[in-house]
Amino acid sequence: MSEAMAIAFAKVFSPLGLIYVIGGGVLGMILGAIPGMSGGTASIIILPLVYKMDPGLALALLSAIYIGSTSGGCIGSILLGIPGTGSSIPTAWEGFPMSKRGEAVRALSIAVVCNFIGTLPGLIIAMLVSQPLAAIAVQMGQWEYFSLLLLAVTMVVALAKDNLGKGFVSVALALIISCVGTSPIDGAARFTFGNVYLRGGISMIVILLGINAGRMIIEAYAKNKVIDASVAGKVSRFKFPKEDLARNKLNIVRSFLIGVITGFLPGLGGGVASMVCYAMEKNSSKHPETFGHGEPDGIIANEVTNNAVIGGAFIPLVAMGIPGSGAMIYFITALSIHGIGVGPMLFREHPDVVYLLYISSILAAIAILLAQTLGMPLFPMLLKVPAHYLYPAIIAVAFIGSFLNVGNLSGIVMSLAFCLLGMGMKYFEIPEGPFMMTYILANSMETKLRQGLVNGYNGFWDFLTRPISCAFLVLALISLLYNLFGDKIKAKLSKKSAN
Amino acid sequence: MKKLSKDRLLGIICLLLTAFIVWQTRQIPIRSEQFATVGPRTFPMIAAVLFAICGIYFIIKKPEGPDKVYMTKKEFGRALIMWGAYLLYLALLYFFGMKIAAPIAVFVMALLFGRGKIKWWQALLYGLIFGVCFYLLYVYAFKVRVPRGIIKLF
Repeated sequence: MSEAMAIAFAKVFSPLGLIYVIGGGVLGMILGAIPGMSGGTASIIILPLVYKMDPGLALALLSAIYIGSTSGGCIGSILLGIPGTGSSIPTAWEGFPMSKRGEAVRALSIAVVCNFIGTLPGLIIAMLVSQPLAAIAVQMGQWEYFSLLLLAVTMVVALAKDNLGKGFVSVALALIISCVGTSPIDGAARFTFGNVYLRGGISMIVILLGINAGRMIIEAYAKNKVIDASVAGKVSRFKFPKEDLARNKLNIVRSFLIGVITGFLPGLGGGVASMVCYAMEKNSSKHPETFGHGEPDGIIANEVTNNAVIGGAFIPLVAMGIPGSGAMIYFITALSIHGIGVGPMLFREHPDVVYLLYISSILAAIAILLAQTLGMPLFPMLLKVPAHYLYPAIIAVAFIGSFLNVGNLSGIVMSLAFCLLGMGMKYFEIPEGPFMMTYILANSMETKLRQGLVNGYNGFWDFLTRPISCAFLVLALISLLYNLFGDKIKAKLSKKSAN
Repeated sequence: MKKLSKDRLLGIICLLLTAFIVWQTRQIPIRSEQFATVGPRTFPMIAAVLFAICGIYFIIKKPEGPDKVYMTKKEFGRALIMWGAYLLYLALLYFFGMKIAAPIAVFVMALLFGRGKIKWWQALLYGLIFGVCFYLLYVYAFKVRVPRGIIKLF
């Protein structure tokens, strides 16, 4: 362990490591600040180049971008009223009114400090919890692992709370696309239509570049999304928000815990956590009427929670190979490029990579705190990057990324097709979250299911007769039924109690 | 004629996909008797069942109010133009490689996004500077193999 940690420290504090962590953090912060963009775009563009990097340093770079992007989301929210990321929406509700009444520095200072308060302890918890959890998870057989993955998928369907039917369409789409190529275990060709380019399957990077980057830029052009950056006035230097923090100790602890727990649950991510925390803070406040009109307590709740999600999301990723949030998909993809499978064995086989992830994330959190406190007067400038320079560059780089990932132009052809699929999904309001999550888990699910059936003696019964596997399946069923009927049951119960 | 709601259309597409997947799945070879029950056909069949259930659900479900508009006709036209610009980039990469394709594609897209806010020569200059930096960065710094094209101009 100490040797692995020493290797990780040496890599992070090497000149290249520091460039990755600090540069990645700042890049993520800039992209997180620009409404419509996100650190995810930068991660997707960088993924095809990951094979040239050391696997641990690649994770360090992705992690720095992720943390920077989550922290930077507050800038656009507060100065423009347009959230940079989905998890910054409540910050926009409270931060922009504060900005309009001349309290932009106070709002930004609160957000910057709360970003750090959410991130750092979350990462330390993740570091402490994931190893014991991995030690437990490593004892699971194919049966338990399949059931756990199935549970993760049913929980991810909950992302489509408004329309579960479309959540299931999203899952089905991911399942069928994951079947393209050769099947696990026996290597039978499926859905390749005799095309040699499809035999290797469809890479996650190609899908991400098409569905996310390609579609996002098409939509930005089609809908003429022009950001009026002139709304963002001048910002002076950072001021430590001592009084605001002292008043909100309970709020901070509660928001932090909700963030870590939500991050741990597959697929929920910062968007859900921030809404839950904001609502809780508003409901428990002595002055709920001030919410929506520039209430600092709302910013504190939101920024602490959406940054605490980062640490929470690392736990299932490192211990079990399950993405706790959408951004974790990039980490799994990056490791798979180097032939490193995530899951309970990661800690045992590549402890240096895991420690490098944690050490670099902690360093990134500190670097971003410094960049945000020292560079606060420059925040309005970040919002003025012209789209006509930024978007063409992203597409040029993204499509070369598809080429690099596949090794020929078929990667770009596939990305173009996924761009159309992404638009089709938007047209039919099919959520992307369940698609991405299922796609990244589908291959493991199929492999574990088939290994379980080959290695067991009782076929499908083995999944039910092994206690832990059975418990996961029961939880999956409960999760599914809750998603399907939970709201109806709640409505009936509240009607009864009203009568 | 009454317009088909988005959900019904999605339902029909799901059922068509079900039929296609079942047809294709039956053609997947099974190499050993061991894989007859659960083998390479299992997962596609699970996807087909999910599509079938969702398809039936969306066809019989009553539409809830008017459909949300994703893009107006005008916006859809613009989306097609941008997708066309992507296609142009792909074609240029195929014929001329990254050296020529990247500056031209960036120039075209900068003009499209600029909507008159930038002059053509500014877009051209940006495309050229970006193209040179991009090529040098990828070829000499990252040392990766980039598309070279089938027609070699220089």
